[in-house]
Amino acid sequence: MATGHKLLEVRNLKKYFPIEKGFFKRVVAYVKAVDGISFDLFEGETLALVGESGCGKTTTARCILRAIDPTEGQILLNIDGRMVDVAKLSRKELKPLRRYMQLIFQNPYTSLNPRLKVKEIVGEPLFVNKIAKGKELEEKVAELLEAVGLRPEYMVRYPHAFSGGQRQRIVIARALALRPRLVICDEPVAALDVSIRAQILNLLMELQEKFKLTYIFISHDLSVVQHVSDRVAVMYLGRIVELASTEELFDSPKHPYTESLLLSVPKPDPEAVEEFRPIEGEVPSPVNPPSGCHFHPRCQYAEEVCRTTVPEFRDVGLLENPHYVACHFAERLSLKGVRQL
Amino acid sequence: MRKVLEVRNLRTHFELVEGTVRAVDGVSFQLNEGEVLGIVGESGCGKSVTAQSIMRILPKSARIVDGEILFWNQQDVVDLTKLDSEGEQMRNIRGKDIAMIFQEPAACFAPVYTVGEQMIEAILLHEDMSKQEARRLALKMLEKVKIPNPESVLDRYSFQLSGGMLQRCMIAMALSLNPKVLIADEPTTALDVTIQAQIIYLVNQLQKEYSSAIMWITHDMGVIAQISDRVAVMYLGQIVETAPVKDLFRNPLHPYTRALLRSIPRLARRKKKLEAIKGVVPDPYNLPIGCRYHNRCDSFIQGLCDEREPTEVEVDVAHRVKCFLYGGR
Ligand SMILES: Nc1ncnc2c1ncn2[C@@H]1O[C@H](COP(=O)(O)OP(=O)(O)OP(=O)(O)O)[C@@H](O)[C@H]1O
Ligand SMILES: Nc1ncnc2c1ncn2[C@@H]1O[C@H](COP(=O)(O)OP(=O)(O)OP(=O)(O)O)[C@@H](O)[C@H]1O
Ligand code: SF4
Ligand SMILES: [Mg+2]
Ligand SMILES: [Mg+2]
Repeated sequence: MATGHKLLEVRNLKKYFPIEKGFFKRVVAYVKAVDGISFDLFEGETLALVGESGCGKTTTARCILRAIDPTEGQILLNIDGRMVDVAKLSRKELKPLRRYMQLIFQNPYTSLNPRLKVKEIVGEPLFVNKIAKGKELEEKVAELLEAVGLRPEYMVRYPHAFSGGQRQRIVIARALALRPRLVICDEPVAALDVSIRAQILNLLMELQEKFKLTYIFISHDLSVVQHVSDRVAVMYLGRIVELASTEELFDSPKHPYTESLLLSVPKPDPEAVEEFRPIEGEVPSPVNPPSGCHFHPRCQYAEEVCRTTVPEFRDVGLLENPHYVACHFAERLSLKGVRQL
Repeated sequence: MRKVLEVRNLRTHFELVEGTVRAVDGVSFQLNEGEVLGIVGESGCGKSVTAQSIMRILPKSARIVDGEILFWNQQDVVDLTKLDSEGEQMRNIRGKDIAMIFQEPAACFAPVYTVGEQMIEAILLHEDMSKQEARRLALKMLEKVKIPNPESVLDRYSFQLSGGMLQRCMIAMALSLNPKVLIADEPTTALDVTIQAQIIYLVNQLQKEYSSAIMWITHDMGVIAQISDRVAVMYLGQIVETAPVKDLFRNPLHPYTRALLRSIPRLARRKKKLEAIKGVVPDPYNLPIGCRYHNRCDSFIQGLCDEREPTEVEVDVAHRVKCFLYGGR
């Protein structure tokens, strides 16, 4: 669980991708992939980022890792008590900070170089950063492989000799090589079989304990999210619409979009087949998002103010249990969570 | 309940240079009028190959080596395995009597024709009507699947529509000829949950109107619970358990079904260790001898499960399981 220290403070983060047209690459519009999000991340916790395809989860992750440059906003990373704005640093200044943050991504079939042996894949970050070489490197790789549940003998093999679940373990071992503080997991089990998913989720939870890791866990599988995370942020069209502790969010959501999302998940229980009416329509384009509250065209509670005014992202929870939400009517709506079904 | 389709001991194998893949290896089940049979199983267990065998749209390297696929067409019963896959009889059945929807709507709509052109062509292939009548039917179907501005969608190309919209068009096309059997191969897997919920809701509504029997393939136990009347669980080319949906969730019998259900993350058990199934799905070229699940099974009986293959036993009404724990010797 969270120890209370803030590891990361994201403030008003924006990423707009330009859409260019014609020979002169004139910018005709912007994809507002991330449109002003703010959140804190506490040491040792797992914060989930959920939402439908295209809502900006991966873009948020890539900004935090500075794989891409944010358009606006601050990304304050706590480095031994000092808050450093990652968004403002130059490539060169960033370099020594890279080891603090690592990424585990979705597809274990494409994320490993097929021409390298496991030893080289897992050991590369250690070698490149001049942390170990030769015999010592091999020992470190062996330790890492054991930590993720692979036999050290496997280090001489190539990736093609491994199953999807095993490859994801290799990816995880590599990500942990530099002992990062923050690990961003972008759909880490989406490409895996149901029976293998549980193994990898268990491993991620185990490693969190062992190495005191802080996770940002991106997923659109809400049952996975509710299992592994301490807090959840729900994104819709580039904005966070709700952020609360996992229990609170699943039990008593305060944003109408969260309610629809929770209701939409098919429950693995045939006794609970209900004839609920799913929300209509689809997510609009981030190039031309709706005015006011982005969700208003699909929201059954919407009123005139939702069309005209962007709802403030504010805390409506208790002091010891904050609950952030961006809906004009958050205080007065009584929405359905999943426990009450 | 009347049977519309019965698959008996179906074996479909691939002959490849690396060896033989017994993708479907002794599968039997039946499908009754008006019911939804859910087929669930992990990647590679043979769900799609079973569907392709019924539709007779298998890739060239595949062969149905054994078994029957009986289809009740009015008074007649035909064994689809005996028909020429490109012959007239099979062409008449495919698309009209047995229709299929896929995960990738691109497999269904070519990018060079409009959605309307393709729907109309499919209707005219099987129905004796004028082009105007076919267009009217296509339009009516698009309304039925709740497409906004159906008139304009008819004149659009597939790449101009979202995944959810295309999925609706595919369902409209598949149902336009009121098929006896609809095979749905993971039609919602690539969609977002809210869109998936819309499609499931739609299919549940349509099913009340069209009495088609539906075979719904998925690897998601949630979808299975929400959509099926009966369920067949597949593992490595075989059906290991079949049961009415409530029985399967309340009283799963096969160790694989039990383990699958246990491994699903649930709210009440937050941050606890999940009960994972050990090991990995074995390589299809080297299937385990005996029960195919034995090397991952936590109830495995040495000297039996690793030597002989269990037969299917009926434990309860319509609840069948292929496992030595329940007989099957
Ligand atoms: N390099 C890019 N150039 C232009 N648009 C982009 C780029 N990367 C992402 N986008 C757009 O930004 C939006 C957010 O994309 P992002 O990949 O962050 O979504 P996501 O929430 O991770 O979705 P998914 O669940 O599908 O992975 C989408 O509309 C996407 O098309
Ligand atoms: N065209 C093909 N050539 C060779 N082998 C094939 C081919 N299609 C399927 N197979 C093999 O047949 C087996 C069953 O595949 P099938 O596609 O039916 O699985 P599935 O249950 O539909 O899986 P998924 O959930 O991934 O769609 C697998 O071992 C697969 O590798
Ligand atoms: S602000 Fe309005 S439109 Fe947005 S979620 Fe709340 S009620 Fe719905
Ligand atoms: Mg993404
Ligand atoms: Mg398939």
